[in-house]
Amino acid sequence: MLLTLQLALAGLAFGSVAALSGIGLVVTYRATGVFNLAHGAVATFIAYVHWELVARQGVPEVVAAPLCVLVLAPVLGVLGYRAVFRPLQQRDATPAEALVTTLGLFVLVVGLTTVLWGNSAKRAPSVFATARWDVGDLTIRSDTVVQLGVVGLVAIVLAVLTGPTRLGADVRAVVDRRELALLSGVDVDRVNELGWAIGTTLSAITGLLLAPGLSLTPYGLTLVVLETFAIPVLARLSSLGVATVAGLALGVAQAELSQVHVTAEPFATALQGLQSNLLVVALLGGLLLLPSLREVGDAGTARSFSSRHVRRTSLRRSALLYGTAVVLLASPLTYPAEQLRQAQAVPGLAVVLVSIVVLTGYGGRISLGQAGFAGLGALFFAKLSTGAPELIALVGGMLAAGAIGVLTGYPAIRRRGLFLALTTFAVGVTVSRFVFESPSLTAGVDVNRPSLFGLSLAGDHTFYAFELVCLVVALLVVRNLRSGPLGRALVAARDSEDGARASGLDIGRLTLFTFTISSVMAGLGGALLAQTALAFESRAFDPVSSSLVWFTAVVVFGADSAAGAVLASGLFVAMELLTGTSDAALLPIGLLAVLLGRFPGGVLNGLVALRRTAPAPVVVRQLSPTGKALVARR
Amino acid sequence: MSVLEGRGITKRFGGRVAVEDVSISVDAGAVAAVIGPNGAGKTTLFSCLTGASSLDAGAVVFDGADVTSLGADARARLGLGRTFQRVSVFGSMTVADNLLVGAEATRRTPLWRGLLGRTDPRAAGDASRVERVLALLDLEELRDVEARTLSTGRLRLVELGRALCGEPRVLLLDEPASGLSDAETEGLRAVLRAVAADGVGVLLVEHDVRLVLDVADHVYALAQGRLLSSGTPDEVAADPAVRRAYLDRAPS
Ligand SMILES: Nc1ncnc2c1ncn2[C@@H]1O[C@H](COP(=O)(O)OP(=O)(O)OP(=O)(O)O)[C@@H](O)[C@H]1O
Ligand SMILES: [Mg+2]
Repeated sequence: MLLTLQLALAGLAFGSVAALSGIGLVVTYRATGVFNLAHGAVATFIAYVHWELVARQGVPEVVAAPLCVLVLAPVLGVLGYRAVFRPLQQRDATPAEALVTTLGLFVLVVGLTTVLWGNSAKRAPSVFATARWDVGDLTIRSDTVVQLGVVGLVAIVLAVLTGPTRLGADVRAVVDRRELALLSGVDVDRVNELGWAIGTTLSAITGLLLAPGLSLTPYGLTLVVLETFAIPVLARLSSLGVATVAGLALGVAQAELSQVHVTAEPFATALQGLQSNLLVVALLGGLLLLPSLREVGDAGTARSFSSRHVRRTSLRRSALLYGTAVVLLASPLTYPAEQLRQAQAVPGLAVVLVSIVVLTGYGGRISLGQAGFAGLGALFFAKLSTGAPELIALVGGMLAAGAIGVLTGYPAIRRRGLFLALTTFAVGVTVSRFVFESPSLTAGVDVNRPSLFGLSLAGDHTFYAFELVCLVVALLVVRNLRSGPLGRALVAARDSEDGARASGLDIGRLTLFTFTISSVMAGLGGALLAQTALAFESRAFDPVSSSLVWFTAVVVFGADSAAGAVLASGLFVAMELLTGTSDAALLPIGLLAVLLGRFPGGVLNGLVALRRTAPAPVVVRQLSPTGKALVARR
Repeated sequence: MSVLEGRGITKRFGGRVAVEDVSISVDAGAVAAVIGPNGAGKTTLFSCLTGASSLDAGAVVFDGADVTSLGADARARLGLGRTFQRVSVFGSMTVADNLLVGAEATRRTPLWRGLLGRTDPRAAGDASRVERVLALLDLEELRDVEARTLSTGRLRLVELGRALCGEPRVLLLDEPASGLSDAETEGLRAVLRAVAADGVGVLLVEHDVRLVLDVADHVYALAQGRLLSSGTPDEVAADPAVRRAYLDRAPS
């Protein structure tokens, strides 16, 4: 009993912080229509600033913490809105574009954090001195009390803000009926700025409160905050009350789970996984079981950040393009083994990135879990190759990835936009936590390079040539997905689902098909990456530093451009070689992604369009049907 | 002989009844029309017939077989073509490709075929059918134009062409003349007659009364989700209940 109480108190401490994070996400979402995937990155950034101020510059805590939370955070929120999201809104970008922009912000902020403070772990200072009080046998820690107090305070402030005030009415108007609010003279800018300011402030509080309990690294804290996505999901993106309760309940449940013991084997491992990953399970479970989220506006498909034109390149131009690419990619074959080894990651990564092109560029589906498929391909290849010839193991790995791809494809048939993005992200995190990070599955896994009908591919040159063959096969598949009846069907489904269905296309079947192809391809790429490294490293298939960053890079280089994906892969590897860190590409990619609002089809298309000196796009404010009706009535 | 039949179709949105107990039938080779004020439930009735939305009660019979449980795509492959009130063409494709999808999508081909770059032997006639439809709708000059750049009137024709390329047995058109110029409407009239003369059953929702009176063989009048009246155009036009429903409407 005492233990239960003690654990509940500990759970409440974490739960209250999780609730704060969730509330921040919901508030920003309801007020601005944008689900901020950069929430965790902002929390981390501000935690670093706080560390810098207190630990390095010796600023007293009474100054540093309020400066971070009450000044820096809201200022960053408002600036972010003005610089990035307001232009998007004025262009009437789709929610999918806004979502990808937050992803760009995430990459940018993580990149900035790494550049400023490096990758090594820091010890973050506690904001409040911890005192303990003994009440009978129970120990109450002061930080638990303080954190609960902060939640209460935030709840009161939010209740006042959205309550029976003029501002509250405006917020509710904007949240309920955006386009009506626009027309009826609500100061939408002010409501948006407020939404962002509250969101970043809460993320700052989350960061400052969580950081002392963890070691502060750019990705570590970010991922913990991303796990709190479970809370807005359980609140169906709307209810602040549910978000608060869900946060506290998950915190307590997580703590109490540590009391449970099972010894029977499969359950013991499962329980162990659950004990440290309850939020992840809640996130995936919530996404799969809830019928829908209360999304603002029409989430739409990912079509909006594919290029705006069907490209019809002349034969000569494409021959030139592919010729150059082949020469460039094949040139490392002439290098000595030492340098060649550094280029070996390019084709493998390129195959994975091309698999994202298949799903997002052609299939019109956002996928934030691609590293999960890649990792499954790698892991199953490695496992199977102990008992079977490597080539068969490779196929097995691809099929394993494909199987999970099909499973992910089912929910994706009915899901779009944010809902799908979160679902694929949750699948990626779940696979990573329960498979890649499970010692019983990954310990002592040996990775060997395949041999082809007796011809060993273990040598660096032969292996690189094999990788190139795999990449070419992937690109041929992509070409066939792009042309003929199948290509037209995919574009049709992407452009207008209603129209495609009315013409006789089975959208569910097409969706499953693209998910299967894409995940099989990702599995191949993942296996190649593992063979390159001659090891399976869970870090290489991380749901955050791989999945999210890869997806952003693909979108930046043109979501429907396979050539862009190959180029992006080259950029990642080249930047790593030049700077010695894999995070070097984050800053340029994040920056370009944030600017995506200005280059809607991706960088390559943006450049092509510039060269064509197309006339400046006419900005048309499109109103939804309700809005139009209202205008018509005036 | 009726090729498409809706029996006692009822559809509710939340507590609100959009269509209530409506029965309707379309004969092969004939043009039927649904008229009614805004919000009468015409588009909802269409969605129920085509499978775009589920029914709360009633049944849809296509060519003698009950298709109520089939999805919109399966009904389309059986030969139920349609256009939308809010045009939904494939914006990034050319006009010709839009039509080609209409021709290809009614066949169910194994997807791996396309993946391996194989062509379907049944595709041989597609190109010539697209050409015929382009000629019929006078869209030949726009063949290689990207659809998103066209006017609404043209888009409606492209959408109609896409449906025609699927060789439908019955064609459901939701306000095909809205956004069309007078000349284009004139052309549409001729097309509708030609299509019906080919043995296709046509059902249209239309606000252009002249067009309806001119081409329809049979008219159904809806108001507030219920069938008010049905019969030949003249009978329905003379029906006092129909007149009242239209006069009751606040002038817009
Ligand atoms: N998805 C929906 N959810 C809720 N109500 C709906 C939905 N679709 C239609 N309705 C309601 O059902 C009723 C019938 O709408 P419907 O679009 O079928 O009318 P209509 O006859 O096609 O009108 P119009 O001439 O304006 O096209 C309307 O009151 C409409 O508000
Ligand atoms: Mg309608």
